[in-house]
This record gives sequence, structure tokens and C-alpha cells, in this order.
Amino acid sequence: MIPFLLRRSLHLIPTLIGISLISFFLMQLAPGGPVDQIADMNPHVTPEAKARIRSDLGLDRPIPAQYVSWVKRMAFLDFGTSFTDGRPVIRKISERLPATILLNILSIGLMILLALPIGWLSAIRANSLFDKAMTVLVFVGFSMPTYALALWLMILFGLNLGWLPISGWSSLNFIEVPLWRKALDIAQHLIMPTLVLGLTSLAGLSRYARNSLLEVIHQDYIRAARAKGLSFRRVYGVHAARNALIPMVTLVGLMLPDIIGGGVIIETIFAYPGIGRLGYEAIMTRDYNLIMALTVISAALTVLGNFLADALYAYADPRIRYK
Amino acid sequence: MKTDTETRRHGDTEITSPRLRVSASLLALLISFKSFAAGTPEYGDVYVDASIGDASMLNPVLSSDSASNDINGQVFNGLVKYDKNIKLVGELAGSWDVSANGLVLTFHLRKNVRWHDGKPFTAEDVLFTYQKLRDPQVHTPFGSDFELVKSVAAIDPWTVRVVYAKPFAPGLASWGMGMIPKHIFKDGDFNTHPANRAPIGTGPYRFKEWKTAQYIVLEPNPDYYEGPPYLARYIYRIIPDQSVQFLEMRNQGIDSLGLSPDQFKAYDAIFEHHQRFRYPSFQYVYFGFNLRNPLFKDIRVRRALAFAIDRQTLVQGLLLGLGQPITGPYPLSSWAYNSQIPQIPYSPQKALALLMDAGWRPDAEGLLTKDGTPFSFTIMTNQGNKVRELAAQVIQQQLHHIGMDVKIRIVEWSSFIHQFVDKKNFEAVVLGWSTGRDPDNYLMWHSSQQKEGQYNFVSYSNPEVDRLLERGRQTFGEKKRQAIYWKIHAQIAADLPYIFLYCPDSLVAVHKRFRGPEVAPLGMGWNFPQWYVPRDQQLYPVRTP
Repeated sequence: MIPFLLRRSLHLIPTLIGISLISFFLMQLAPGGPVDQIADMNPHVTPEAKARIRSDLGLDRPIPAQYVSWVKRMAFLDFGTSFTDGRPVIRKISERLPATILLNILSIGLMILLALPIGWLSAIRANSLFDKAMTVLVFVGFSMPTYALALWLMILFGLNLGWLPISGWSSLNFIEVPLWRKALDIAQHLIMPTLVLGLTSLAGLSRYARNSLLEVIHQDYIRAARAKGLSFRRVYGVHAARNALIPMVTLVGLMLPDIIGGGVIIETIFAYPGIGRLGYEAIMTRDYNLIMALTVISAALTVLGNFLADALYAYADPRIRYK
Repeated sequence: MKTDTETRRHGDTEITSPRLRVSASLLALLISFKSFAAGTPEYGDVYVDASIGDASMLNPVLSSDSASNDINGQVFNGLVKYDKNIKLVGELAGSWDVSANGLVLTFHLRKNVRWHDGKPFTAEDVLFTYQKLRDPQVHTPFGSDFELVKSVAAIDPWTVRVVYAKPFAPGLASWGMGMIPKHIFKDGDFNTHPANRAPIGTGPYRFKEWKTAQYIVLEPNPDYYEGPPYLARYIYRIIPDQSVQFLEMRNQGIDSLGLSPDQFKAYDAIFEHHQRFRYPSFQYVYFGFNLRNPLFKDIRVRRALAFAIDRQTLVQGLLLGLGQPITGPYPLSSWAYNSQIPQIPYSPQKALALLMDAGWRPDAEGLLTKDGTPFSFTIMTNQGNKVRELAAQVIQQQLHHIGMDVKIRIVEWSSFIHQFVDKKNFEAVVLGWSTGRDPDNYLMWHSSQQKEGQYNFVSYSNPEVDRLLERGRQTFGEKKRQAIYWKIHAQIAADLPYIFLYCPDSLVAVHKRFRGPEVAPLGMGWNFPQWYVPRDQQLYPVRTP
């Protein structure tokens, strides 16, 4: 096990270097730069003033030199400051993280909670009415644009019924209410985005769950277990389910970056103060330092998620380790 | 603005608490010289505004985005400001003098102004603000406005003397820049100073809280030199999606928002709680030519194009009628806009006659050709602005009617500006200008401003206009300047370097409970500190402390 993990972790180094190279140079290929946002077609700013700001931000240096100094700083976890407001990038990211992590954990939790039972029940009753109805349902969710579902829910629960707040992360009187009301307030604001994210992402996992259980229940040992007289519930609920979980482990491992990488559309629609909006705004304003930090962090998490999935897989399935 | 409810509420002012009685008498005093609408203003309630984007920095020297401007406008004051009729009046400077040669401005500052932290506002702060604007280390987008300033000196704590190298009339308006406190900013790095997120100003509202990407909260400045504003909170919510803003409006979650034309034209029932306002914005949209291109060198061709484009249809189709065609390089509500200039009417016949005159003949398929080359060009505009894309399509179709082959190319904003506009690598563009309140447009029309990255990218050159633009900058006094800018308007309208298309309306909804919103040439919100909500209509239980 340990040598496998060591060997596997060595792969991480070239991957990370490659990611940093590609994302840095891709970004340089995008037209425009951070200064253009305030200076383009703005008669207040003369070309000289623009050049001065550019050089002050270090943007007039050769691109390879910029890359080297950026990598050097990043090695010490210094991501620099944002070009739009001069604040440290790491602070801008960390103040958005809690909201995004909370929403994503809730929605991924909701998704797993719904997708696994749906998948397994569909597999046990493969091709039944239930199976077909669920297939239609999860694919409707999958094909539904999140913004459309979000707007419908807002009109229903926010405008017509008045049960839930339409958008935002907290109410306007947030700072004046006691702690339990604060928690309740945030919970109310979280319901709709969680529902939308959870329901629209059911398809993938529930299909995988269905297929993986279908594969397992046709194995000999399941037939053997049934033959030896074990109850239906025990065979499918324990023996089959546990084995069917192994591929799920990989999938859930790959979801690690999703916990941090926010959804741009969902956060924009719900005026939710998360990472997705931050990244989108950073791209639109060509805030290089912020874009780079976000790309590297999410790339690192993807790589880490892969690694974790491998490790879990190796742990759960002894056959893997010795390959 | 006066609504039914207002007349009904008129006069019912129940005063309950002793504290309120005091403020009411103070109020009566204020109203006497505020010439305010009927009804007695009452304190309390919250005003919730909405914005698509968050502010970047709450420092008027550093930021130029609209969200930051909205907040800075409430927190900071300039030395001068525009009144409702777009006339410059004193703000932190009670008055000012201009020397006879136009080179020296002397500002006489108000003596009763304090920063939100209680420190007095003095000439030192003006001097400091100016130094920061000119400091090469400071990332300000406004430094260029002050380039003609030779020196700024504090004569005494309440007198500032500004000396210009050349007379520069637009310079006066640039002193409307929000003044920043020296005692706060004197230590630390200016560009990343913590006060950029917790500003201290002199304005009617003071900063209370900023939750990034969520909201900014302001509270009244009890010490404001014109008396405290009536509303107990100003909350600026960041809601990035326009349709969600609209839902929040219907749900009374926000009190004020900008509307798109189709939202403005929605059913009346949707505006149950809100009143709609419209007024000409300080923007215009134009169809501009590259005058270095032989195709557009001939004035007859440009005039023909002007006859061939139906601006009324554009306004109807793109803005649902919520805008007006214009004839020249100023927005409609500017005093520089010359309303004497006649609109070029839509007339494809006249357009064809002019083109024939210039040597263009329709070929067998009806396509205009001259010496074997067809009349064919490409209109460019930037991606992401639906209205401009549609404008280009309508123009394309209208020009097709008279036999022109027009293509459209839509390019991402940065590439569009840097690869095409700056390098004069285009034939025609659909673009817009948002202009300041001062009409000086030297940078767009003077023949010296044609280098890469400058704003006369159509390469317009007319010695008469050059001379007038220079005079407009050197002449003080609105009446005299108006005569000059009217001439510029007339000349540019005759030369047609752009076909001026239209000036869109600003469309705003404000909750009906507010008393005071009024449209003026400057727009709305010019009297915002005097807005109030009658006590029995207040929606939020927040009182002024």
C-alpha cells in the first residue's frame, strides 16, 4: 500500500508544474489585461497614465519573467494582490470559501442521499416502471438549465408563497438578530440553491449507482448468497451494495474540487457570495493574480481528489494495489 | 414628484417622542431654505438599492466603476458639484473665484465641515487629495484630468489656490472629485490602504458595513453640513442577475433598481409598489466611420448613409421607444446639445440620389458599384452588448435596401479595442459614449488625438472644430461656452464622422413610499439626502439614532 501511494504521489509533481504552465500562458493569450478595464475607451486616462499603471503592476515585464516570479512567490503560498482592489488574493478567496463549501457540501450531500437509493432501487427493479420513471426524472433534472429552475423556484417559493427569501446569503437585519436567528436565516437562504444544485446533478451518480449494482448482482457470489438462503434484504442491502460502492468511491473522490469550485451560474442567480462569482469576476476584469490562484487551487484539488480516489480505491479493493 | 398617497398623507405628522420633537423643529428650519415638496419629512426607514456588481474600492481617487461611484457619491463630497440643472455649484467650497486670465482658481472652503471621525476638513485635505491624484505611485484613473494644473497651494486653512498652466474650463468640474482625509491616509500604502474598504468622508452618509459580494450599508452622518439625511440606512445590495433584481423588486426586497426597456414596459400590476421614472441618459450610441477608408472619405456617401438609416425605427425596435434620436456629439440633456440642428430624415430616395451623384450605380442585382467594385463594408461592434449587435443588424438591413452589401463582425471587447479600433483596422463601428457632464470632447474630435489608443479613432479632422474645441476649453462661463459647443455640434453634424443614432433613456423604478424622487436634467438622486418616508408607511423599523 505505502509504496503504491508514494509512487502515485510522485506523479503529482509534473502534473502540477504542467498545470501552472498551461494556465499561466493560456491566460496571457486572452486579449486585454487588468489595466484595460479602467483605461479602455475612458477619456480620463491618457495612454501614458495607462502605461505607468501597467509598469507599476509589473505587467510590462517579459511574460517568462512574470511566470518565474509568480511561481517563486507561489512556492511560499504568496498569491500576490488583486489588481482590482489591491487586497491580498488569499484573503479574497478565504472570505468567499465558507459560503461555497457550505453550499456544495449540502448539495453534494443531498445528491448522494438521493442518487444512491434511486440508483440501487432502479437496479433491483431494473426496467420496471419505477426504473423508467426515475430515468426520465433524473434526466429532466440533468437537462434543465439551472437558471430556469432557479427562477421558477424563486417565483414559486419567494414571490407567490413568500416562504423563502429570493436571493442572497442573509437578510438585511442579519447583524441585529441573535445567533440562532442568524443560523435559521442562512438556512432559509440555502434551501433553494441546495435544491437546484442537488436536483440538477442527480443523473450522473444515480446512473453510475444503478449500473454498478446491476453489474454486481449478476455476479456468482450474489447468486451463491441467495442460494444459501440469505434474505433478499441482506444480500442486496449489504453484500451487493458494499461491492457496488467501490466505483462510487472514485466518483466521490473526484467531487473534491467541486466542493471548492463554485458554480458560476447558481451563485450569480442567487446573488450568493461564493467562489464561482469571484472567479467569474476575476476573469472578466483580467485580474491575473486572482485567476491564477483560483486555477492553481482548483487544479491542485482535482489532482488531490484523483490521488485520494486512487488511495481509497486501493484501500477498498485489494486487487488494485499490486498492479 | 407627487403621488395620490402623498396628498392624502399631507399634514398628518404625529410627534410622539421628545427626541423627535427637537429634530422636528430643526427640520422646520432646514425646510425653510430647502424649498422642499409638500409634506413634513420624517426620519427613519431604509433605502435598499441594487447593483449588478460589487464596489471595488471606496476611495474616489482610485476607483471608477459605477458601484464604487454610487457609494462614494454618498460618502464623499467634492469642492464643487452639479446641481439639478447641471450647473456647477459649491459643495465643500462654498464659493470660488476665477482670475481674469482664467489661470487661477481660488476655492473658499466651508468652515463647518467635519470628517466622519470628527476631525475638521481643511485646505490641507484638498492639497493631499491633489497630491495623490498626481502621484505616479497612485493607481488613479483620474490623474490626466489634472495634468494642466501647475500648482495647488493652501493660502490659509480655508482657502485653496489652484494655478493652471493654460486656462482650462473643464478643470473646474474636475474639482468635483471626492476629497479624501489626509489624517487617515498619511501613513501606509495608499493603493492598498485599509480605509479603501472603510471610508471616512464628509458626505451625507457614513460608512457602516461592507460584506463583499453581498451588501454595503451606510448610515446617516448626523454632522452633515447641510443637516443629516432622513433615511436611517442606505443599503446597497449586490444582485448580479437582472431578472432576479426584478423579482426582488416585486417582492419589495429592493426599493430601487435600473430597468431594461422590456422590464420598464412590463404590466402595471408588476409595479404595484414601485414608480417608474425615465429620463435621457448621459450616453449616446453612434455608427462611426473610418474616415481614412476611401469608401467613407466622400461627404456625399456619409450623408447618403445618414438618409438611409431610420433612427426612429432603431429606437422603436431596440429600446421599445425608450430613447430619442440625436443629431450630434452630446447627450440630449447636456446644455451643449444644440436642438436647432434638424434631424436628417429617413429617405432612401435621397440617399440613392446622393450616391448616384458620387458615382455609384446599381448593377443588375441592385448592388451599388463604382468602377467595378461593389459598395461593401463590415460593421464591427463588441460582443456582449445585445442592443449594439441588434443595432448593427437593423443598419445592415436598412443599407441592404439601397443596395449596399454590409457584413457584421462581433469581437470580444478587448480584442475589438486593441486589434481593431486602436489600430484603425476597421471600416465602420457601432459604439457608444458615456460622457461626463462637462461637454469638453476635445479628446474625441481634435485632430491631434488620432494616435494609437487615443479617442479620435475615426480620424476626424476639421481645423474649425479644432479651433472651437480649444476655445471651449479656455472659456469660462456656461453661456459663452454654450455658444461654442453649439457651433461644434453644428459642424460635426454637418461633417458626419459618425451617424449619431440615439440617446437611450435611463429607466429606474423607486418604491412608492419614498417622497422626493424627481427627474431633473441631471437625472435622479440629486436630492437624495432629502428623500424620506412618512412614518406610517415606513417598511423597516430602523430609526435614526
